[in-house]
Amino acid sequence: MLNKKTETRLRRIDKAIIIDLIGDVTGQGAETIKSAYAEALQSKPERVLFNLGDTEYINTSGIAILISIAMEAENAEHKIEFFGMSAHYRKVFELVRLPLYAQMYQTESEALDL
Amino acid sequence: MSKKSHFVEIRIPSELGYEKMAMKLAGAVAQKMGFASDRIEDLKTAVAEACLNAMEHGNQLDASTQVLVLLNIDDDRLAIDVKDEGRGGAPPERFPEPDLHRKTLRHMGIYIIRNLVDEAGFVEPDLGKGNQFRMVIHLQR
Repeated sequence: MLNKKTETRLRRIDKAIIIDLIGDVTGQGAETIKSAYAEALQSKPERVLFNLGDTEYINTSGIAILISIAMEAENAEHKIEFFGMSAHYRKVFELVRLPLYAQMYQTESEALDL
Repeated sequence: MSKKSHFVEIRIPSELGYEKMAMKLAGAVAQKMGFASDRIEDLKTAVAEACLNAMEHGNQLDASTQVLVLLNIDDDRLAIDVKDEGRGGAPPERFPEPDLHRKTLRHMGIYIIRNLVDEAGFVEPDLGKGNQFRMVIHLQR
């Protein structure tokens, strides 16, 4: 398989949980990403943020996973957040209107400095 | 002096992940041609999505099939054709935009492609049986 396996790492900073996505974000990483999100919710954080700073490749299947999580969060009346994506992927996210369902920041410090 | 096109071609298996090879090739050629870095990234994503469509829909992810990626290089224009083997039949005639409001994500790949390159669409196949999708970017001087 030429895709880099999706790995996740959870970090807690104050009342936020950050999910670091490492590797490629594709359909093959669906279970890994959804499991990480479910684990993050268990501690009932005030915020859940996805860090895309260590991802190099995101395809539409990967975007679809992130959208489905964003919609699931919206149905539960909260929003997930993203930071660290490249300018290119930010543009792609805006093309598919993901900002309607998720807050986006450039960096971790910008995301947490509220 | 007459313009002469140059052609570069690769064939990749219909296996998820191999689209990255076509991406990297397209990116390398676009960089050599002098495209700006943001346009190169746009092209790479468009090529990856076109290859994935060919693998999944055109070739039904049949491991015995291949996707042909042909780059047609002119002085100020790069055209990339992605061709499948037609196992999935002809593509639909229309591709409605994905609609997050209605939670419809179908055709997101083609929608993204069309917004990242100058021209994109299916063309009459001239490289054998199967569907042929062409993307074009122009070098603005």
